[in-house]
Amino acid sequence: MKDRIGKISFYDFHVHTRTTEIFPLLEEAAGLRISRMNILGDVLRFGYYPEKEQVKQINDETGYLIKRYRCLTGFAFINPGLGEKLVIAEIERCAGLGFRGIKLEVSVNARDRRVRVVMETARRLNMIVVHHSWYKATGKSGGESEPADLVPLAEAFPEVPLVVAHLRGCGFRGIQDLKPYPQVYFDTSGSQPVAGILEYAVEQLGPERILFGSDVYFPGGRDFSVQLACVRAARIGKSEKKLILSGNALRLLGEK
Amino acid sequence: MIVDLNVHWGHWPRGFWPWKTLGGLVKALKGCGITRALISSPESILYPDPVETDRILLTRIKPFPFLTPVATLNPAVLNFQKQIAGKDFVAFRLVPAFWDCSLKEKTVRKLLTLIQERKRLLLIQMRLEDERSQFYPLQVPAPKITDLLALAKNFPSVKMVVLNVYFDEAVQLARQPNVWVDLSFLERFQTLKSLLTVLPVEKVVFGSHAPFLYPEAALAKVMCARIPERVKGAILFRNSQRWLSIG
Repeated sequence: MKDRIGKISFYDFHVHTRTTEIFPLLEEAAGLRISRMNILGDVLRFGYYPEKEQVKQINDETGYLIKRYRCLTGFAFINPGLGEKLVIAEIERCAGLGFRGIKLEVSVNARDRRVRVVMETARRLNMIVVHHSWYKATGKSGGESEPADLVPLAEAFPEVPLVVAHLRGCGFRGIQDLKPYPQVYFDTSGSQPVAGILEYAVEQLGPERILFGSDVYFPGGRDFSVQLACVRAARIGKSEKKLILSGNALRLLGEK
Repeated sequence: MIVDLNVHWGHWPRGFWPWKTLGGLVKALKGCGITRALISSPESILYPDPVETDRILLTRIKPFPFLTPVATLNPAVLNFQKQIAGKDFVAFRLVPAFWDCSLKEKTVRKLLTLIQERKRLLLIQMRLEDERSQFYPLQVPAPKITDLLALAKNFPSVKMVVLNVYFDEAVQLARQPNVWVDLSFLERFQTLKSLLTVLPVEKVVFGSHAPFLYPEAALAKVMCARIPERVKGAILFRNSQRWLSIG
């Protein structure tokens, strides 16, 4: 693709895998110059409301992967509905394993008080939170959160970096909902390769608050090449693309 | 050489496209290496008489011989007969999700009979947007696969290309000998490698759904796939090229 961004390598902030046998995933990523990936766990393997042992199993697999492959970072998948004690214990256990953040899916809506425990723990342990979000016309799955549901969290926890997953699912309305909170980022994933939303996000939020995320769910959903094309084809500047594809993730994670 | 069967230009109430002119879009398509694009008018989906808006499309695309116009037909608006008989269009598009009649109605059979007699290419657009991201008060469900399959079976000599299909829909539809599918909405890990394990390459054509979607995204599915060059060529142009002389 002739986007003149040079030979930089890319950081994918939003990757899932159903298996720990990920050689084809790594091979495919490397072929497209994705040299770093953030593993968010197989968050839907046990449905919307996973039990304690199921959450632990998902996180153990992520822990195994980040220990085995230096190119991977990992986030702890948490069901806030499991209760304060278990939630704090699991986040602390994962932090001990080297996880850099927490992934929240659809178990509990972001307005629920139980999510505050997760945010407080993230603040204490200097972790980043990635939260699924979407304005979904077809109805919510479980306790799914819309971008407006994340506003109270963003207001109450300005010190916790909050990455809102699925820019193209959040759309223009979601961008405006969370624009006032500088610690809130969006990842580029979600839906079809819809043109125009990334350009709007860069204009409204600035390129520093957007991270490349494919939402690849190995070995099934999403294609790295398509998701990369959504950023590389966007009508934005070369330096903006570099930030989105790599620089912002490195800065946020304190990596070089 | 690349033939894109799924391009649009005109006004669409929820379109916030980064290309503000048709010339800008044409430049982007050519930048992808696309050498011929079949283009239809999004306005014709909602306008009471699509003949009127398709006339505007013809005027708009005049400076761009690279674009081949596609007429949008609504079986509930009976002037489709004249449109099919005319010489302005080599292909016709149906968008059943937006009709005020069902695929089973008599007038649909009449329309398909005319297409069959004239040996024209028929494009069927399943949807314009991911249903999840539609505007709440304007939710438009896609037509039923069973209804489309019944139509294809009833008119076996009409070549139908179904656009904007999801993976599982593509597999069901393309089993019908006279049905092909475009790439625009298909996505899996290693999309083409996955698709070609369940569908023969002859059943897949290149369609970008630009400017709703980035044309580069559809192109990436082919160009980044680890498949032989001849397979890429079949999807990018050979499979659809042969139809474009029809009529």
